[in-house]
Amino acid sequence: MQIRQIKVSHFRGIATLDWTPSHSFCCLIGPGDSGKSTVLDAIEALLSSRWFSFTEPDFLGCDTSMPIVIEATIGELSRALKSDERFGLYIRGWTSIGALRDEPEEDDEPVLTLRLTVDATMEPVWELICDRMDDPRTLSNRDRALFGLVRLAGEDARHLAWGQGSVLSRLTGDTDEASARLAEAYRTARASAKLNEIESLTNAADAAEGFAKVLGAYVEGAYEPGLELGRSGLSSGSIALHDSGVPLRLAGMGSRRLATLAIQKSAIAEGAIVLVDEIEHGLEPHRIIGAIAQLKGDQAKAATDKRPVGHVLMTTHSDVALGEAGENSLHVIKTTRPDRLTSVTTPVTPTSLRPLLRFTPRSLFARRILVCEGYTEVGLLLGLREHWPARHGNKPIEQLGATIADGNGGEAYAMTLALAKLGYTTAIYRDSDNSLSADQQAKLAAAGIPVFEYGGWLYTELAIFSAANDARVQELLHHAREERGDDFIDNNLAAKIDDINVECIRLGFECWGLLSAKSGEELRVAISEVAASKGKEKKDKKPWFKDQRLGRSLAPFVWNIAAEATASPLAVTLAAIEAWLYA
Amino acid sequence: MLEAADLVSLGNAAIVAPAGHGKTEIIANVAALGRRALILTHTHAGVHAIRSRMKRLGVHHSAVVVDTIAGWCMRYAHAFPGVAKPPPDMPKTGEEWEQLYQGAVLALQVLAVREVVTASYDRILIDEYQDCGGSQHALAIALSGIVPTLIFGDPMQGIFEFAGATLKWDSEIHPSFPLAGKLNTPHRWNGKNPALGEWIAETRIRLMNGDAIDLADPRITFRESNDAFDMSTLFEGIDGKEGSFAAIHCNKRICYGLAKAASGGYQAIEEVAAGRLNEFANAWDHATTTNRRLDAITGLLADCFQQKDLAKDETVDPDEAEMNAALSEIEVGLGVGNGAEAAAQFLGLFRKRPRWKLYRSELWRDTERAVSELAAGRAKTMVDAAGSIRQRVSNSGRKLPKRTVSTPLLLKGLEFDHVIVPDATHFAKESKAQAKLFYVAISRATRSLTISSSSRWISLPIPNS
Repeated sequence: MQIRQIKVSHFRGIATLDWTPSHSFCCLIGPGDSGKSTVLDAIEALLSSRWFSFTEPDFLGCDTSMPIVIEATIGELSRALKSDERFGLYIRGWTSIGALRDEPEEDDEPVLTLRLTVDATMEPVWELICDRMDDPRTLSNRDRALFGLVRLAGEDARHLAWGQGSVLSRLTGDTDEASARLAEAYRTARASAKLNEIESLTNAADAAEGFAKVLGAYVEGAYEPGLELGRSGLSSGSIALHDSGVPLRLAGMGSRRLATLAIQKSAIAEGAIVLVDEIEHGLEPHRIIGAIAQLKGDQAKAATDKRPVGHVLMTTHSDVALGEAGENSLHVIKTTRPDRLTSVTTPVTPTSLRPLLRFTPRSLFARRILVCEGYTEVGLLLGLREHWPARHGNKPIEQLGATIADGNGGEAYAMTLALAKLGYTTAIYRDSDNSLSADQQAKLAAAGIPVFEYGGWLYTELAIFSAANDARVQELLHHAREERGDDFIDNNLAAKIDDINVECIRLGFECWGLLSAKSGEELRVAISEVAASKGKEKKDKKPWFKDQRLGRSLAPFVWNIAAEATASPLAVTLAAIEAWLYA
Repeated sequence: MLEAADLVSLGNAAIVAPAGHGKTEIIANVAALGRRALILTHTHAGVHAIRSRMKRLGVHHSAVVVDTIAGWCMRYAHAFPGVAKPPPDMPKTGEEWEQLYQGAVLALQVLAVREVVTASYDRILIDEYQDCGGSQHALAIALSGIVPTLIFGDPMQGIFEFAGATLKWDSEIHPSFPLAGKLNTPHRWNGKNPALGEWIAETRIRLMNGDAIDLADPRITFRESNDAFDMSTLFEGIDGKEGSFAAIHCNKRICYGLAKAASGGYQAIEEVAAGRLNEFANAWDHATTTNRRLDAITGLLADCFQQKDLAKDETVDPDEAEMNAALSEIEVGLGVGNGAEAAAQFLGLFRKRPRWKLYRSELWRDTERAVSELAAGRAKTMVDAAGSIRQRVSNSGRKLPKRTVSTPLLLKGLEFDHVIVPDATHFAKESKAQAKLFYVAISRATRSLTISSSSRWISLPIPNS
């Protein structure tokens, strides 16, 4: 099953939402209180077979005079749903261009529309919507169970025991054998329960272990049914999954969650709709990557085998999760204030975000993103940002939701535009030595994206050296020598500046002018060109500061240079960037 | 020998099933093998027969859906009205039925609807295929393009030629449903009268070839008589016989006549259309005066009761006189309100009259029910009341009298222990499907078959197939 369209109105913090997901794997991100969890809650309330009790706070602004309405159109329907003994005659059509038709035509995909309505009586009503039928059909919890919804929220140990209606009991099939044995077990005490001899239980436990391992849960020994006598006496719920004698509910949170998810998902044969809140919860980065890769891999395999793919909707605050989920699954959710209109946006050109997801996926969790052209700039700003809070009430930029992202050189322009279209406030920080085309400039201007440049064909190294006085230039040279070695720096410089030799270069920058015919300005240009490896073949390029750490190490020097030359293009540009980030 | 398991692997195919050869049984068995089968037939009676067979065989109700072709088309055409454009209500005319079937075929062209059919059934079985018209055949072809479809039928029982069921098996049916075989075991006569079964099977072949039939065969009873109304044909020898009886004649007026002549010893049954009941209901609804209402009832009386004349020395029975007085009293009430209450009392009294013999008890009972429906206020008019009564009968199936007289059309699909065919020469006078009508008539019998005819040999034209 897949969600083709979901509409929510008046539910919790959402006044309206109308979202047509176009991917089978949706990674929902957005700043806190943007409605991520509410969207998952709405889907669960509509499609889960559980009964939900609604209270005033579930209504937008606690106002019960307007009903809560949650409506979804579901595609990739299972055979059971499409059968005319169920809802076959209630199907509607989903056109190839993603529009809904009450009666299917031509090659429309068969879909079903469900609606949950809650009014002031707090009594939820689930119905199937089909305009051509005189009466809407109410849906029972059994009906809703057919839609194959799985939700992994916080703590949920329910699914790790053979309780009534649990997934494990479904995996087991008939549990009569188990309950008969249980009655016996109760008489002869725990030790003699011999649950391991009940083949159906051990088979289910083995299956559960297999599913859980695939998703990345750690298994100490082997999963087996174990007896846990609770206060309520003995029931099928007293049999729980154990791992080497230890109840699985006592396992680490990550393993427990992954096992729960795996077991639930496996019980749905035809394309489950899987909702996961914060998949990273309790997991180390490599296991986040493993779990996501598995979920995506399952879908890809199902698609290859022409089986139902299902739908995964997950929320995350983890850049690791986001990086693994990939640019195609990226969905940015936003809720406006004060009218609380919620929208879900996907990248128009996902490929332009690929470098962002590779290098700085964390920036997608911010509201305001400054895209820098290269490592030097990213590093430099990351260093400078440590100096800024003192001038802004001790607030770091992150506290304002601002962040600095790596644009990977030439890809910065497209990336910035794509981010703006996703609803982020963005700006570009770039060199001026190869300028943007008129068309690019116009598009950025139209999108209201500021471009921070030094102007006058300056690139970062040149902007820095040009603004630095002799002492600062010498400081920078000294720093460079410490980082890259004396010979590397000096030989490079000597090769560039033909009228002074290495010995002279080693004397100190203030002496160069005495021996060289070049002016101080020309010498600074020369140093900058060497530092940036200007004019070299790509394979021969050995720039001094082109990585994030080296860029960042420049920051203390640049801070001083800018403070001493406040009118320099460097200082002016950096001040503008600072102002924008703190806006 | 065709087995259910073999049929399942066939895909689309046709099975020829002569009367009494275990067709329903094999349909039930094939249906039981799959996940969920759709069985389509023509009449509600057929639906009941298949359902009860399913129940007897212990087939789970979720494993099979049994419906009439018309009912199934109503359901699907009205579920997808935009493309199917069915008539707004139950079709009334031939054109409206065509519109319904064609609409269902149109709906089946929509991908999503085809997916619903695929999800709903893994096999479709269509019964009594010889009764299908052209647009029902088109529907079957559309369905067979989605789900493997088996059709069952007998060209020799195709007696609805007059109603347009004239599909040619070789040129029209078999190209879409290749012939898989013919059922060969005459189950119907097992343990009853196997010799009779043999004679019927032999006669089937002779009829197909247009050969003359010898009625003086020892396996059946032949009476030489040129009079359809020769009561001894109907009654001779019945005293010792157990079980159900049917007298079969192609002309329905003669059937009513026979029932009347038999003084209710054989009961005439009603057509699905229930023309006489509707005629009464219309007359009633249009009657503005007490007398007109009385006329409507007395008209019906004449068609339902045979009144014995008084013997010469007999005087009017005192009960009878009392009854007449009571009836006159009730007559007044016919003018009160809608008159239905009085009519109900009036009708009720006739069953008790000793000299009045009821011979169309189904019609009379339906009339009584319709009248009380109206009296109870459950219907606005007599026509509505009659409609809902007949709907109920067609949904629940009718119970036949112990001795029935009717036409092959109405008795098709049923079986009787003893069958009487009065004046067999009349089949040759039918305008269509003479041999098929004769075959349907004789193949109803399971224990004994009595045929009266002016001559020992009977010859009928080669039937269409």
